Amino acid sequence: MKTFDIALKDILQSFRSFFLIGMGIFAPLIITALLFFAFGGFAGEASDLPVLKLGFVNLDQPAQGQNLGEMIFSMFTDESVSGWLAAARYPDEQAALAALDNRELGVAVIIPQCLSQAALQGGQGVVIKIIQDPTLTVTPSVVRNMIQSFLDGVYSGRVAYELISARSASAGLQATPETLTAVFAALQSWYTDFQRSLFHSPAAPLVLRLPSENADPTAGGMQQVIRLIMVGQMVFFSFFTAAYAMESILREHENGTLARLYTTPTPHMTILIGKLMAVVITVLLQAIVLILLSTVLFKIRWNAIDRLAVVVFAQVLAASGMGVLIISILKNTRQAGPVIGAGLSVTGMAGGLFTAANTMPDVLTTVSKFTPQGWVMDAWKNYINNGPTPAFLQSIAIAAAIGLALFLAGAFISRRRFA
Amino acid sequence: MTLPAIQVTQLEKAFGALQAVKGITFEVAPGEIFSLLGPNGAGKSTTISIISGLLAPTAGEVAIFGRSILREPNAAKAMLGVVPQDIALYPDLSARENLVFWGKMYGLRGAELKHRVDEILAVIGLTDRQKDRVSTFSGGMKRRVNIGAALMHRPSVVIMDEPTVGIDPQSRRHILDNVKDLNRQGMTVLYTTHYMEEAAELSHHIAIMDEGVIVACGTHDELIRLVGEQTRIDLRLNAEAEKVMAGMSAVKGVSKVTSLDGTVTVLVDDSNRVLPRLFEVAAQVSVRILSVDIQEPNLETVFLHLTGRALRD
Repeated sequence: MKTFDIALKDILQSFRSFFLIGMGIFAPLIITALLFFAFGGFAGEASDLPVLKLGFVNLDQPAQGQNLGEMIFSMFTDESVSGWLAAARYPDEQAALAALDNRELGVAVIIPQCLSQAALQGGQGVVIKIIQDPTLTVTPSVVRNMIQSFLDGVYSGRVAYELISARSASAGLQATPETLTAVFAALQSWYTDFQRSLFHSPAAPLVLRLPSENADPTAGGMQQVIRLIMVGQMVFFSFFTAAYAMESILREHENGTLARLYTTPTPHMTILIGKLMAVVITVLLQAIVLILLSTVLFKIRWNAIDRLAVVVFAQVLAASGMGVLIISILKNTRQAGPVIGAGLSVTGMAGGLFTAANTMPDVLTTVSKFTPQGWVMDAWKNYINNGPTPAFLQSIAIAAAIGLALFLAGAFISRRRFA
Repeated sequence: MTLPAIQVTQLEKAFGALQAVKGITFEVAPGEIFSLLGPNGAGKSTTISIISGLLAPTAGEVAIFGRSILREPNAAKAMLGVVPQDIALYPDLSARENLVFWGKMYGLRGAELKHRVDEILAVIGLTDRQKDRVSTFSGGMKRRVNIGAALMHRPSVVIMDEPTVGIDPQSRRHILDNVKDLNRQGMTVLYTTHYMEEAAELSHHIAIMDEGVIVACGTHDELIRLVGEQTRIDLRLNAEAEKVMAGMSAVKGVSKVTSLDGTVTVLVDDSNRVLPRLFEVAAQVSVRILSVDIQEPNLETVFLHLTGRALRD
């Protein structure tokens, strides 16, 4: 019972400390909020990427068969790109350029008159004009790549058709729709392999990496980014909170209240356990408060409560362990400020807590594995991306094991010093 | 047979090469105020810390009403209320929250705890400020809460380690009156101080400590009798004390001569007879006596007599 009394007293003191409330609650929320606004928060999911307005001028007039200009336009108006691309027709190049000059458009695509004929039947080269706002970089490049990819497919198809026709004719065979379909399927497979070989990569040549293929489908890109930022800040400051909460043992040592506690009929281990318990509960409360506030403030959806509970548990254990160990080896509160600040900032950054992306450079990924924060962040990413259970449990187990080891080491040293 | 409230036997404590307490033995009877009097560094606080269970002795034994502080620490500590020398409270908690917490540490719960907190707040005169944080209190108010926290569980023995250091006269008076009240309620008080006036006013028995040993122990009157009829004369000089000390020591009727900060202290049998001789000695070496203070025998005199040094050295 006295253990709880001591823990309760410490928690009460912690939550009356402006410093702890500032560092533990407001700082992570403020940093996340700043980044949230920077990414266009509160504007809704549609603004995950700035919408590119595209002016499309189709001058293509095939004598017969497919109008490739129309096929390209349909590609730009496909539902899959509607989140970041808004294409509109313009009657001629002058109208599109005028709109571009007025900044009504981000990019203009001018399809020449004889595109279909040149692409499907061969002949003189044609030029597709792509004119962009020079201040834009990423999205016009994606438009260019889409057109290039489309034309590559058309040209390779034409070459394949001509080749099959020529071979069939020389062999005295007649190409049928069935044989052509089979040949084009084989061609598609070959083309994919060819591109993989070209890029010397076992992966597909062009992969649009979403935050995770398994990520929560209800969470948009903005949600993913903000969740990662929030999680990074929460982990970062949870380690500070734990260290600060544990620092109370140094403060009590210096203020004489620890000595006074020892004059009461309270076993020394009870006192120590009470203080350790306060650290764990404080960090746990901090995590719960931050999760609740981030739900309200940033509309973050924390799904899979069971997984959330497990990852919070791992975070609390790792943060508490680190805090207990750091304080156990410090002589006094004067040492605590700089050591906690520098130590946790360095290990936090090394742990990738400030990298709001699912994938990090290999070096940082490797370095992060040497910090408790890195493993906790790994567990959080597994949670956010709804990663496979074995990988999720592995990161949880390692983070918790590191935390437990640090906690026991810190508790052992503290017991020798203070109990 | 009544057990002593505190029994200290051959107590020793060493910090490395420093022997802070050198085999002291004393007993405190139930219901009395017992003072440990001595200058800073005499070993009083170390002794108190061992009796409180805060420090382990190098050798010796301490028992509270027969319960060994070493072998039955919790049983012994349950009978003790310790008032530390420095304020040992939680500044971010209110006066009431502090008392509640310390009460719980002594095992109080529920209605009993609430009732006792109200009582103590009334005793220390802070009922009106009970919800204010201790950090907003004056030094004297903090001292009162500091004492109140030690009384929560109605201890049989209260240990007070220099509770009046660094406070204003009014708060000091309040604390001394509190000590007497506690004693009247039947509590045994072990009190340490380097103010002989406090020891003289409060104590049934006084142990004078110096350099880790008890140089004398007894009632106030018993201790005074140790120096007989000796009178203490303090002489303030206009020159170095060393110039006159040898000469004054040689004067008949002078038993001890010490000096501190330009003042020479002389213990004499008969001040009327000796004082003119002291002036003569000073005149012989061209030293002027600027002031003379003659004191009847007191604890300061006793300490000087026993140790050759002033209590406030």
